[in-house]
Amino acid sequence: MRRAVRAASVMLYLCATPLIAQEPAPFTLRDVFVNLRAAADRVNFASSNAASDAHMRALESYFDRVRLLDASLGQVIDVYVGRAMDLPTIAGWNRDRWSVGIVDSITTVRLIANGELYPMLRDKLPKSARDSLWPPLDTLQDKLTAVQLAANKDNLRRFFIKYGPDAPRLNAAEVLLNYVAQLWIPGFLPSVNGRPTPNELVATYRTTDLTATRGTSGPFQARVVTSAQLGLRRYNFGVDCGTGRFADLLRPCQQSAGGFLVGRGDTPLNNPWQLRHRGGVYWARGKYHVGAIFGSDRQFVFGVDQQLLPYIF
Amino acid sequence: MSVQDPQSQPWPGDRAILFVHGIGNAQPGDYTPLVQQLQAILGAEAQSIAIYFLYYDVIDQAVADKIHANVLFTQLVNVIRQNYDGSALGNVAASFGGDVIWPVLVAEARLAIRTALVAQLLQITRDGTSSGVRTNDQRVSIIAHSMGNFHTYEALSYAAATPTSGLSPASSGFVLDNLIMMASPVQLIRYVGTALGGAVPQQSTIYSVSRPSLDIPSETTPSGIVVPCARRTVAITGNLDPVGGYLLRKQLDWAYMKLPGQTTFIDQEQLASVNGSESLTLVNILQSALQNGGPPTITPNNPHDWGQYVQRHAADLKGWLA
Repeated sequence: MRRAVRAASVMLYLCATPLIAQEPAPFTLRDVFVNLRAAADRVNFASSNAASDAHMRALESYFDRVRLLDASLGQVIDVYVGRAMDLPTIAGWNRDRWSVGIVDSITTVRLIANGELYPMLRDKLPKSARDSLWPPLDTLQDKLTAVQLAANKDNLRRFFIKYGPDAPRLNAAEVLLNYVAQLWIPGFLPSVNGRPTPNELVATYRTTDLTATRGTSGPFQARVVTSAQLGLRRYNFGVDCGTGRFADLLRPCQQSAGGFLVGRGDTPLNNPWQLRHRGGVYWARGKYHVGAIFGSDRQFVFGVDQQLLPYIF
Repeated sequence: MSVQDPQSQPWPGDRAILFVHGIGNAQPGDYTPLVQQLQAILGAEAQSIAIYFLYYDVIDQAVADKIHANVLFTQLVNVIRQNYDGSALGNVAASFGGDVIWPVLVAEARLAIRTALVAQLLQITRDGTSSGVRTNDQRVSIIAHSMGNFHTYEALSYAAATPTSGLSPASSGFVLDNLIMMASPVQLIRYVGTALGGAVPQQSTIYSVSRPSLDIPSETTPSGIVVPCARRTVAITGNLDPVGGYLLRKQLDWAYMKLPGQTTFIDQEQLASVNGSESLTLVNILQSALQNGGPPTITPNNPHDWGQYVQRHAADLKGWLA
């Protein structure tokens, strides 16, 4: 049933797309080449730079062969920056043609156009002539800068999820562990384009966790215990993280899980080096965490992530 | 503390200037006097220039709040200190240098600042096109000071090495009119980054450290035309400014930036010396700058002061930015 509904939705989307797309004749890659050829002819580019002129015309044939010549410039930029294509793009042409060669070829066209041909136009043609020849190239550049500006803003948004005032503070041990992890463990470095890694190591010592235990004959009593966590935190960089009611539980910007240690007795302010007597696992969402202690003395522990002494615990 | 959208404004002409500040805990608006200083120098010309200012200290502060960056800072200062003598001036100069360049050790901090700078440049060029000035015809200049030079150098190197960035000089046609670098620590950072070696996370993303030589960022066309990121690159430093690679009028080869093709200015700085000792005066000035910690202040006697660099080159700036 779900499959049928999904298939119907896709069909409906594909049918509706031509009706929704009302933009007046967007430029295609073919327009780029038509105008480049016209510009090259105006300044006799073939005689001053025969190799690049021939290269440019060969690239036009190449894009024709891979059926990208009639793609809109928005679709071309999607391919160029490696952004996931939308459904009409996928339906419109062969995904197998999406290759590194295409990206390099688009770069070469832009290098010849902006790096070699345009300086000649500026020297030899008035602004009005340049304005009539360059709109498809302007549109290509405009779409590229729009996509990249959005991408850079998104990287900064992610950065502030990880480093903003609502993000967990690291203690000295965690700073050291994460620093070493950046040097040695894959997955703990940002991307080369500046996107922060969602991974962070956790090594905390907490003195204010709560548990409930029953004495030999009495009712359950809440007690403060000392605990330690050693685990992995994953940031959720979703645009809606941390929003809405009960955000920490329903849409947390980070959660973590790992090993959990408590001391021999349910007492606060235990020496952190003596927290190896009882162990289990913990799971944290937002600033709340629960831990389960295994063994003969099973217990559940609840706590809130908060550093009482900055950078220590 | 949150994501700040890049500054955006219509262009009154075909020119724009971006200021990129250095050390300090600068909040938006703190450098307004400096902008007014440049506007006064440019006179009526200033009316036809869109002026932008990138404030990025919120990123450094966020990282410092989260990870207690002093741990890394101490390590950095020790590396720098090895190259100074053991004098009080050497120690404070090392601390001053370390205070400037600690973000180098935090990959996500320096990449976030690079991202903010790239985003601002993208917004600038989009403002220009929205105002009817094609990217290839835009005349954008950057005036950077201190650590701002490092972030600018990294952003422009990234743009030149990444044709899909939208800011590459040849493939996007985004060539600065002027890249004006005042008291640049780029060579100092290259030295320290190289000395720290594997201790610097993701060193490969620091162009000023990982490249075999320090050059003006550029892109090459298929015909072999090398298109630099700026038509004019100017490097200015004072001969009493340790961040710019000078200590008491002596050029420190390991710290002074020499980009092939740069136009160089070495300002002859003067100190009103204490008890006849320039060294003691410089120690006091650098020490007070370290202890400041607040918004940057204009201190006429500080050899690293941005306002003084601008004032000394008022006539040059007017010519370059015309």
